[in-house]
Amino acid sequence: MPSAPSPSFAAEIMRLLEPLYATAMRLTRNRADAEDLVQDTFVKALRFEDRFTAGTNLKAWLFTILHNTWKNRLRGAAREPLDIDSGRVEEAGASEGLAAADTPERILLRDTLDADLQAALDEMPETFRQAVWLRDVEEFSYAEIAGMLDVPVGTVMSRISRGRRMLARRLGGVAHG
Amino acid sequence: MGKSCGRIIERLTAYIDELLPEQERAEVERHLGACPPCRTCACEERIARIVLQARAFRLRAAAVPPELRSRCEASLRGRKR
Repeated sequence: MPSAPSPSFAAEIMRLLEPLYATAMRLTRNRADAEDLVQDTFVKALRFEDRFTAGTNLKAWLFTILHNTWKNRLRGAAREPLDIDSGRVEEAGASEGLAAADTPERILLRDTLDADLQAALDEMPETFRQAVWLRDVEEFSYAEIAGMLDVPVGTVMSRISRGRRMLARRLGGVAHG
Repeated sequence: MGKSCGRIIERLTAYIDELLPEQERAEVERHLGACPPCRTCACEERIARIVLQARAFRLRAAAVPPELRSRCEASLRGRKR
């Protein structure tokens, strides 16, 4: 029989259900898969509780399990994440002028609907969306994200950089500084 | 793009996130002051980060479906022997 999880560990992971589900929704882009992914993550976390080092970042550990589970599932389904044509990415996005009166940040914050922002995120290639989401929404460090995605820190930073620029262009906010 | 742009672009994310040491920050700023294409990149990065951070709370607040919560609670109970 498996041993019972420690009450504090169980309570902690229950508290993290919401960010896990939000991230699973961004990864899977549909509710049924997101629910399954979170459930699998949850079960694995319970099973491997003894591998978690107390005092370290439980959220980062759970997010690592979530991303690994998703990666394995994609592999199992022979569905590879979108390949990125970096040349095309760099070419994408023609510049648009902005009224000088307001700052671009303020215009975008005012005019961007949550639904538009979610749609813009969902349209991004997966590798960039993951990196930007983990950094700017979940506020993980570059090193934590590198651990989760199993890529070098330099790769994480360049994905964040390009992902952010892609997103800004999708939202229509290109500034001329 | 000029010769030094690659070096600057590599540091842009850390610059926007205010994680660069003072000396490198100054170097990036000097370059941005003189290079409009890099300045555009920096503006785009900053805009995206600001918008996402401002909306992070709402983006993160995905309502967890009650069935999922129940399934997870059931997994917890299943391990209490």
